[in-house]
Amino acid sequence: MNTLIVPEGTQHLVVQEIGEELIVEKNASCIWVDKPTANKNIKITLKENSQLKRIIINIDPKQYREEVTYILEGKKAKLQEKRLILTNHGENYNKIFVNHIGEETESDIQIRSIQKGNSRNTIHAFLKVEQSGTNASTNLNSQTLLVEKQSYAQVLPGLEILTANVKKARHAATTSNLDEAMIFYLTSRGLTEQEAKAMIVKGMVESLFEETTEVMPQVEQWLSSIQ
Amino acid sequence: MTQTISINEQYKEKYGFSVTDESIFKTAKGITEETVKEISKLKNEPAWMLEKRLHALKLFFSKPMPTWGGDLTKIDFNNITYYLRPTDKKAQSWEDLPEKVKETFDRLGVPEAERKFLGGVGAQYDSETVYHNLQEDLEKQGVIFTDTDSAVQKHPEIVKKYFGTIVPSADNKFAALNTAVWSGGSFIYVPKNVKVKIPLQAYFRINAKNMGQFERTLIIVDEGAEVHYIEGCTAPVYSSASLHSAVVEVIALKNAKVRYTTIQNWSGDIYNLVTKRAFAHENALVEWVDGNLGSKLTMKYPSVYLVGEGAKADILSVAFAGANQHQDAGGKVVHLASNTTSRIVSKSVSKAGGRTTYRGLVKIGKDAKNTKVNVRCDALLLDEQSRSDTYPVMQVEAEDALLAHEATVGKIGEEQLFYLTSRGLTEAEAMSMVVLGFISEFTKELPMEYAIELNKLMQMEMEDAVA
Amino acid sequence: MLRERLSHLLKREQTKMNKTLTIKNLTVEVEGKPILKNLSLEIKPGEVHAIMGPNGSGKSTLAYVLAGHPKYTVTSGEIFYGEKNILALKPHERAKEGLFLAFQYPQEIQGVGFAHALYMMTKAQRNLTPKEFQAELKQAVQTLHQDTSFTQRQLNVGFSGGEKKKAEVLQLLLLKPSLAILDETDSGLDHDALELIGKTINQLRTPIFSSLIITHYPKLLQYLKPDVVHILVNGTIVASGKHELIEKIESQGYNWIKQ
Repeated sequence: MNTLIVPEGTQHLVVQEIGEELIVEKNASCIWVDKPTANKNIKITLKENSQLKRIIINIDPKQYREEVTYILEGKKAKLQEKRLILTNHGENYNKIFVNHIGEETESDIQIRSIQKGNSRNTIHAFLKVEQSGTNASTNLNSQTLLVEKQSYAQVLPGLEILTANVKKARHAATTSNLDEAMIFYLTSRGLTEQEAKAMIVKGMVESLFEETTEVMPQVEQWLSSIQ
Repeated sequence: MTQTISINEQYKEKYGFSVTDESIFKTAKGITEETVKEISKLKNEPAWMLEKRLHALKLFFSKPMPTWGGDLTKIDFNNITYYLRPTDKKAQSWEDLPEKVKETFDRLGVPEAERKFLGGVGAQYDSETVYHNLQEDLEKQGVIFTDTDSAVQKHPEIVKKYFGTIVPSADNKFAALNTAVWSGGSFIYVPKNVKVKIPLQAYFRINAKNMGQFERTLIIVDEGAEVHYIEGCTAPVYSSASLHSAVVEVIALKNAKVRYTTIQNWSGDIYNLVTKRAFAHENALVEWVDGNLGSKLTMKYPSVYLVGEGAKADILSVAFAGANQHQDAGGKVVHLASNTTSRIVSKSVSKAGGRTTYRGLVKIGKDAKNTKVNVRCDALLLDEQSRSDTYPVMQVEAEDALLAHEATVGKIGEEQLFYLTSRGLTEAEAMSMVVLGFISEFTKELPMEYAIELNKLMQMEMEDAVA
Repeated sequence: MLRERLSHLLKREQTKMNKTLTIKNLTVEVEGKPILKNLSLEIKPGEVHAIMGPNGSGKSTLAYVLAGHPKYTVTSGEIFYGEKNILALKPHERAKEGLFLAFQYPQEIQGVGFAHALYMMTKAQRNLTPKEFQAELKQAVQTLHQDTSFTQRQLNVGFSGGEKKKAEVLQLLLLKPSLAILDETDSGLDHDALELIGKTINQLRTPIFSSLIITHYPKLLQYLKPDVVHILVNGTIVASGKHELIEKIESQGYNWIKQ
């Protein structure tokens, strides 16, 4: 087992490769910027008062499969995941399981999935609050944008709440397309249809991340191929 | 199910349902080909129906039990009696009824006569006059409202045309079981452009057969027609049969409107496994209003297949799970045509260790252009021991679909309780107010008497919760 | 019939007449942190007291503790209203004693009709027929310059700040408390609404009606002139006086207090 441990008390450690397991020790905080590779199965454990912020940007993966389990074990552990998926084709499978075991733990998962071509994406995001997870707070927001005709999206957001004393337990999932009205508004201001679509999609991406600068050129390139 | 005392002669004449020979008959426990043949023979059924039953029986044996959903492991198929002639059911005595049931009648203020009926003790609930006037009106309009057994005899062409087309026996193990041993249930046919003004209620033509274990209901609403069907009641209904597996098929043809309201409050250790499905054709509207209050385990996911352009579906579901109860409910919508819209609203409340599960499916096919779907499922947990799960599945293949789904789980806010109690309401009154507010979207779709009863029932539950 | 009703009313008023609110050496904590320290205050029947102070001084805490909010722990001291030990009573019992709190942030309760909630709350205080209630409701709504559609919405759901405050005052008018605690009822109100609410409450003043007005700005007090003004800083009352205190705050703010 390839395990990475973030030692107790470490602040703002930035990691990119983590192997199969990550443990964030007590009072440590970690930012994981993912360089995605195909076929992953990862387990992450957060100890007391630790924080993990994960940013995953998947641009045009050919065939992608990831299963990640987040165990919020220690009291007050916090998880935030921001996942951007831009796909052209192939079968892409994302499975996320968040398990709140400790008290006052928090998780916030934001997923934006934009599909072109004949990509078939599955997002299976499961949030669970155990009986021990009193005052836990969990939130999932998954937005899927289908840009072209042959795409297929499957979203399975699940919630299992075993304690009444949960502070917040919510998920929202939407699928939509590029709004005709929005496109018209922009094109009436002189943009080509392609430019308009790209602008809308960029807006969606930018609203997700503050730290987009590095990634934007790749996103722009992907967008430029939208019809 | 409810074991009424012998049906008297007058009743038989007045209602005129086909009642076959009075010979004492009861199938042996367990289910075999012989059982099915005997049932069919007793009902004097045509060969085509017997064939359907036998075919379904084979499927029932070959299909595995579902591995998802509630815990079905304790069902012993060999220990169930699949058919009981009404005249042969032993009278239940009032004393034998569980205390809790009797107490609930008291607190709800259920009239004496109703109590006996609901408890399965008394004679038929007396709704003769209302029923007769209704029947006259319906006949004038060409509306058929009868029980399914009678429909097989009197309207075989219609039954043959639609029976099993919406829920084929191969659909799932319990649909197969139902198709093999079904008895009772309602049959409604509304001719073109006829709008039935008053809701058709199951209990109008209720007799012992209807609240049966394996009811088969078939509703066909022809082009431009409208009907509202209501079944069940909020007061607890006692049943000694442990397995209820009904199938409901609804066909809403072009421009038709159908609303099917069910409130189920089975009292006792009952497994309530129901398959309810509707096909909505061009511009049709199908509404499922589904209340689940009783039973030990209910698995029920009313669904609508939108097969015609412009069709609409609305599924409103409320589930309440108390101690030792598991309500596994939800809704399914399948969009197969363009310009269709659907909405699913599910509200569930669990207390005292009860468990509520929302299971939903939204499927939007490739050719379903311009689809709009909205799903909202909220769960309220009233105390530490309760549990709530949400398992929605969304499959979207059309790129211009608009689908929004949101789910929340929580408890009654401390701030809300404080605000209301600071106004002089007791804690139970405050909780009651919040819970009723929580399910108000559902309650306001119910006919007045049901809404009032449901509110009373909820208030009672809250008093118990706080005590 | 009439004589009976009058004597019944008199009796009820008489029992209310003797109710003084006495707070002695009150110390209150929230999540282990002390907010109110050794606070003492007496409000006699018929008096209107104002409590002012900088943000964070504990003003709302005092309001919540009087109403019985579960989050606040009283570590020492006592509160009596008339002869009743308030601290031993649950929130709904305190309401029945005649206490009313107009919340600064009223709770939104989904799916519950405003009029229905009002009826339930009013019935908890006194017996009246639905017809009597309808009449009183209509009157109260008119007094607040609203129309009946106001009460047909869901309890506080989607109400603007001003509407929420008016909804609180509407409840006050219907429940007829003998001790009304107003927690920053003036915040978020425009000039006209402020004047209306101030004047409305002013009209409730009788020898048996007392009020505790918690406010940050002196505006409301123009219409609702208090008999006594207290200044609360860091959980204790640092000054008590009359109108001159308000003038001082209007011209100098709270800085002169911070010694």
